Amino acid sequence: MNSSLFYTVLGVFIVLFAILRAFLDRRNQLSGWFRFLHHLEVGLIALLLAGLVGLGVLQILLRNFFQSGLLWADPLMRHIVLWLGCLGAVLATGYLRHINIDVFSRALPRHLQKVQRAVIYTATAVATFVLGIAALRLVSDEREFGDIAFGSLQTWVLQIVLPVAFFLISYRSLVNLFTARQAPPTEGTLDGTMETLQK
Amino acid sequence: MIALIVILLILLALFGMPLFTVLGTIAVVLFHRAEIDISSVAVSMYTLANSPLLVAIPLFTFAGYLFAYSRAPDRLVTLSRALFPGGLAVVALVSCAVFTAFTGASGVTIIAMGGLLMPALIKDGYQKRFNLGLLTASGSLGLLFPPSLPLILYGYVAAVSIDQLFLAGLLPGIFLVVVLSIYGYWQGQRAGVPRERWSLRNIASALRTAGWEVPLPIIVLGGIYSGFITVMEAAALTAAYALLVEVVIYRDVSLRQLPGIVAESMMLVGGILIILACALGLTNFLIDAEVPMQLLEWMQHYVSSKYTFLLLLNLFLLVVGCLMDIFSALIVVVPLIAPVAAGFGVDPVHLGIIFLTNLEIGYLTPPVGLNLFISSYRFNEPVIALYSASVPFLLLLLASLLVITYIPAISLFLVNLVGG
Repeated sequence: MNSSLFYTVLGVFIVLFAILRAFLDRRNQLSGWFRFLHHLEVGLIALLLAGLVGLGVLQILLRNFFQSGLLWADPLMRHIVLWLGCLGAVLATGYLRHINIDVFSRALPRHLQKVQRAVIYTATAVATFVLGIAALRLVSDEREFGDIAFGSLQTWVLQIVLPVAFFLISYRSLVNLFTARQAPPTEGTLDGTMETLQK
Repeated sequence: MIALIVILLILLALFGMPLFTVLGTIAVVLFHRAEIDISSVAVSMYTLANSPLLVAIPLFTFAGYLFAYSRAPDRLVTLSRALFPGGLAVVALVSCAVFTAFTGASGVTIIAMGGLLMPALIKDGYQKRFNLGLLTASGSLGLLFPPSLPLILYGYVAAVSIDQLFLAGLLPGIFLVVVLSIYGYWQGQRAGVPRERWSLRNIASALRTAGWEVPLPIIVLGGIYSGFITVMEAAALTAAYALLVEVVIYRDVSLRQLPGIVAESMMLVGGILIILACALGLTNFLIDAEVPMQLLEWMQHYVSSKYTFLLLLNLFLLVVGCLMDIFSALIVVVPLIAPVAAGFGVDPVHLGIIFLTNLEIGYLTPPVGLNLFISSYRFNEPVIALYSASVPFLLLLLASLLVITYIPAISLFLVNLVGG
């Protein structure tokens, strides 16, 4: 398929899904299903983190007590960090927890803050879609080369998290736009999402 | 056209567009204009998976959040109270510094320690205004102590040995704590606050309460300084140990709470790493275009001495520090400034300490220092009240900054001692 056609179709899909999601949210439908997906997402992140801790400790033990080590453990841990970073960023989009500068918006009157949020969410969705395209091109190039990262794992398989994360961020940003989501006052602080997550 | 897009993006950034999208898109635009395939931006992102140092970031962050949600802050204050009999203000400074070193993200300290210390400070008779300033300033005090995340991040971005940075931060960090402690002690004397007796029995009982947590800094720092374990391994050990102690032994954190803590900490990690990923493409482009070199030449036209340069650097970084949080400031500014500073003969390790001290102060600088807002939220006080409350602390820290900047030996003494 022609690549610009592919990106158009992908973009339309992302917009449609975001609208659908926002619509269902408003009518409070399928919320059990969405909660399941959310648990799945956090579960995957927890699994990666557990793997990172486990591998790290295992390596210390192997090196210091058995004078050996797993050759693939180090590159695997470094890639887990890449994946954790990407998935963490996707999660942070849903909770509006991304680091920003934001000097002016506090000074805006309330009705203009709504406009400001809408502009920011749209711009974020467009920008991350473009970044997703850049990342997808890397993956398809890499797939042609067929480089091996470590073991028998091909590099492109590990890189796939980059475009996936950017397209998901784009999608979540649109959901934020359509549900007119607003950052909680606890944004960027510890209390922030604890309650939300424990619901 | 290109300039227009870049200006638009910067404007959007000032209105709250996530920083990573701004940096990433500018990189895409610049690469596109230079007729380089935009996948180069993604190539830089993938280099995140090349660094063993970055592995430490999720691990230390997770451990830090775990401590924050447990009753470790409580035990830390009890222990510091027994060890440092200079009044509660001194205790607050010391315990916050230690806590920040291990949690790295400064908002966490004010939230976790502030709620605990504020009522105690009021009960001991300190003035409210002083308390507010003290806890706001304490929120970022420990950044120079290992294994703080900003130190690790600076080491990565500036390609400076992390072992040297961990040594270099010690004395300036202690210096800052001592300066503020003297002020806190003096204020305590004026308010006539009670002071704890220094007794072996108190220390023994505090050590017993915190018995499982005390070994951690010793294991981690001892392991790193002796070269027995790497920073990455120390981070894995810290996370595993924190899980064991807080979940299994003390049971401060229940298994049900764990997913929330994982999600919370990994959102911060994701937030930092994705900025790093997007900024790498941009800084690579700027370095290829020799922007830092041009900046250096331009600076050398107007500035001849290293000392004037350092003063300008301080001013510049204070502005950056009150606009940006410490992580993005490090990621964006260090690659551009480090070559310029090297051109003026500033040691890269010393530069790191200057950077971090500046950014730490930026946290309390009005109008937009982050700590001011977090304190305002936490203690339910208007931000304006915090502006005035933090002024004495701000002035003391600025004076200390000048000392740290102009006496490199404070930062480099230990590095040279060990290295040479």
